Amino acid sequence: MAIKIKQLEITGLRGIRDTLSLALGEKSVLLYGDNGTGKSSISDSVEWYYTDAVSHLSGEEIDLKEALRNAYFASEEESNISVNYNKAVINSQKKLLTKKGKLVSEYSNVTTDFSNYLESSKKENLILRYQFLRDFIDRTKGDKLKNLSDIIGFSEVTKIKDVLRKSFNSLKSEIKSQNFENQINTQKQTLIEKIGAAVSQENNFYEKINEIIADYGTGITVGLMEDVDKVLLKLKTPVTTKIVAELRFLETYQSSLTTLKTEIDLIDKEYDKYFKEFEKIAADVQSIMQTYFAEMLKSGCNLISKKFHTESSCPLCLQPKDLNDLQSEIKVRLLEIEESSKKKAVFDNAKISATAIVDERIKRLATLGSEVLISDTSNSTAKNALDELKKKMEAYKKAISEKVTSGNKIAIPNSLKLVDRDFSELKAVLGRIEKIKKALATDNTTLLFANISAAKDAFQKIKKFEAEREKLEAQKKSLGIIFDGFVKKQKDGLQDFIDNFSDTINEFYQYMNPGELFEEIRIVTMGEENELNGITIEFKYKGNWVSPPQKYFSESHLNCFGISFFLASVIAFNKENKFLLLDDIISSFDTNHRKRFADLLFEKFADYQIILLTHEEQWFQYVKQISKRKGWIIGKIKWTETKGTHLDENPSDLKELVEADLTNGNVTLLGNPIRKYLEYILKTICFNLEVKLNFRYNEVNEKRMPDEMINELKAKINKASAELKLKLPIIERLTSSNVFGNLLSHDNPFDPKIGDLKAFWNDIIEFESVFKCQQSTCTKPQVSLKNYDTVAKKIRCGCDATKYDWK
Amino acid sequence: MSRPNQTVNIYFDSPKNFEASNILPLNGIAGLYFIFSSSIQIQYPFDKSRLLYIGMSEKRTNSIGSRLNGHFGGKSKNVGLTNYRQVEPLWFTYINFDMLKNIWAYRIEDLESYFILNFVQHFGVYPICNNKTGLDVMSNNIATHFKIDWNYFK
Repeated sequence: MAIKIKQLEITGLRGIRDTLSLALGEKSVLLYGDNGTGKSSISDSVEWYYTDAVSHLSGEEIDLKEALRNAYFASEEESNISVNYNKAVINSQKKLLTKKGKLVSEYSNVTTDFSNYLESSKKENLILRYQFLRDFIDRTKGDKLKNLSDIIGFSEVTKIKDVLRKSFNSLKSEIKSQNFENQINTQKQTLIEKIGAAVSQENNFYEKINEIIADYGTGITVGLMEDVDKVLLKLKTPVTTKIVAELRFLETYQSSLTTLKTEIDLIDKEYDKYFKEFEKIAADVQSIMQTYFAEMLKSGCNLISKKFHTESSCPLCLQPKDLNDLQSEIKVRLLEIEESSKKKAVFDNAKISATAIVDERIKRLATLGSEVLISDTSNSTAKNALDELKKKMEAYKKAISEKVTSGNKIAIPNSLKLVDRDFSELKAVLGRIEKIKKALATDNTTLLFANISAAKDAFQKIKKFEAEREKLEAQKKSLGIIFDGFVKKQKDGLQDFIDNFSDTINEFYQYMNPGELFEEIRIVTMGEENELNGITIEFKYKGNWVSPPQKYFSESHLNCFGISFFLASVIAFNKENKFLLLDDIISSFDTNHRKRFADLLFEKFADYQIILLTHEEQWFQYVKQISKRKGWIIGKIKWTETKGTHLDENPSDLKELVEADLTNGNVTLLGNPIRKYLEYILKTICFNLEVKLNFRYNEVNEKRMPDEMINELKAKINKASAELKLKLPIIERLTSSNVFGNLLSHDNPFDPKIGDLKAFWNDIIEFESVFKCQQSTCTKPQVSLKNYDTVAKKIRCGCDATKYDWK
Repeated sequence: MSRPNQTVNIYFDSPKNFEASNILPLNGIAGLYFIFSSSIQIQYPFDKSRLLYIGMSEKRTNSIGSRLNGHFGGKSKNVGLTNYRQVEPLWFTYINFDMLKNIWAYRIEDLESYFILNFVQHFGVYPICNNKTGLDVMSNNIATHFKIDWNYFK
């Protein structure tokens, strides 16, 4: 069964404060709302319901759940969106509520039916916003790909791709910062030094040890690492232990510092890269500071567009400012910020890489510093030298940790660079090593013990480094394969879509642009083989294929293309749902394109349920005419501070509005609401008391106004009710008011005083109360013939508290 | 245990498949590399071996990674390697020159000569895919000699 919506209710989400209820009954709906009335609150809520995200609110600095909550909502109140479908088993409500101080969301429907439905809906394209189309126009080929991908629902795919790329890069930098090759080489040098062989495989290592011990008559043949231990145990004497320990410490010290010395270029290269990026950014720190303002600017923009702020001033600094100008300025700044964000990303990468490299060296020096023998007095100069090196590495660290916005300069590369002098202690250590070796030269057994022991140590380190490297390389390789496969799938998927639906896209496009010079359009993916770098549009112009589209396309043409792309994707991908939400997508269309788009929707998507939101009054009027014939629901969205986003005013809203304006002394705009309210209560009373009015032609239709209804009502009361006759003075007072006369016509010039209006309004309220029960518990407060008491012969309200004789 | 006029055993690391993902990490490394067949044994005059080629990267900018890549992509125009690769998978291993810098006072080019000549001594000719001729004959008065584990390529 193709899913359509029967009922949609939203409470406390975005601009919607009270419950906004749309009884759709599977029908399409056309909703008109001025900018800032909260149309997008509806699309945001639906998007959140289906995807748990709102694309235009995505960003690290926005907490989506908080952003979704209506700003006026108290923490204990529960925001929610309820959707009832033509398949009741999947009806559900998604709630946003505070639990243990945290905002959490949950669905009321936890059945498998619903979760399956939700899962398949996530693959569909249900919402199109103007924002997508607008963003699409001026983008580069890569960004265009992203935007079109978003339109056809590839955004999740793109997100996964980014996660894969990040993981891949972090593995790469881990391998780089560990510098395994260098560490393994250092250990191989030790092996050459100790046993005269470069080895990295077990059998070669054992073969060499067997060769060395052959003349010592140990009686052991080495075939396992435990055998090496047995050899060592056999060679070990109490005298050797201390000397060998010292020798091993000195050699560890020597190899660690030698390794670091060989890494000077690596460290310096990374720091140099970082330094250059730091300088670039520091020279333009304003642009980077701007990136921190992005969210604030977006919030400011929202405050204005949602009309939370309507004064002609900046909502942040409150300086006088034209709001339209301010919005345009903010948009320009946000574009600039995007550029700055890219620069900052390059800087951040350089920082991450330099930090990882320096941290790894600090860690290695700390490991050396934790050797027991370093604290021995005989090693105090070695310890000092080590401390100095640590300080130098810390200086790198400090420079890399400096905030780029601090205004501080950081050390230039040459001032930090490690130099030969920093390793002068190595000479002394080598001298000590040679001295010990010389002493050992006369003691073959001890020397053999020392060499095999050190070789074993070096060999095991090689195996450890190899295993770590292999693990990381394998992970990198797997991720690389996954990433490439992913990109290929993405490209294939997009290509399939384009191949199969380019005719449909072209058909929709040509429908909206008949008889124009762009005879045919097509989409082309860019990138060699499995790459997917971007996407572009080509079109046939006077017989030749032309690209890029901006060359001849107007904004309307591009928007038509974006819409065609989306609608084709609906046909391609939407298998479960048969409804669409289109949020203000024709905003930048010219009149012709708007009309053709409406025709396209009614003709090609007649079997879809469409939720169409617009702020374009003229277009609304045009679509409204067709919508009426097609049986659509039509409504207007309004926003007030007290109610937030809501559907068009009902009488009780009018009453609130009038009373608020009377309290505030806003006289000029009160005429129409009072007239509408009076008409409304009179129609209600006349309907309930079956007051009959004559038929009138349109030319005199304005006479179907309060005075006409009041006259007939008086006549009816005179005939039917003695008790109500007693109330006639209030009706007379109403009709004799000079304000009443002025309110008769929509067009009457109107210049009342506040006092007159207040008195007149009080009369209306008193008049209303005659026919409406004042008991708060009364469920049918209107005095009506429907509640006629046939015994007492009285008309009455539902609770019997208000009643009058009636014959 | 290494001393002047010493002999150092050269054992090789585990072989790697001759493919792009294994070559890429070797960028920036200078030294010798050895390309060999995974199973075909070449009958050289004195002995059999699977070794096809001994190569060299003399500097980090034209590293083992880029040299191997040249062979892999066919840029080096070594027809022998290309054809062997067509009939069966090839393997490679390498020696990072840094490992030997304490005991080898000469250039990498000299190390390559040493290895190739040592191969010639053991097998009677140059490795089958080394087209190079006119190698410098190394003096025997060098401080370090290598005992190379040619059995690795059996």
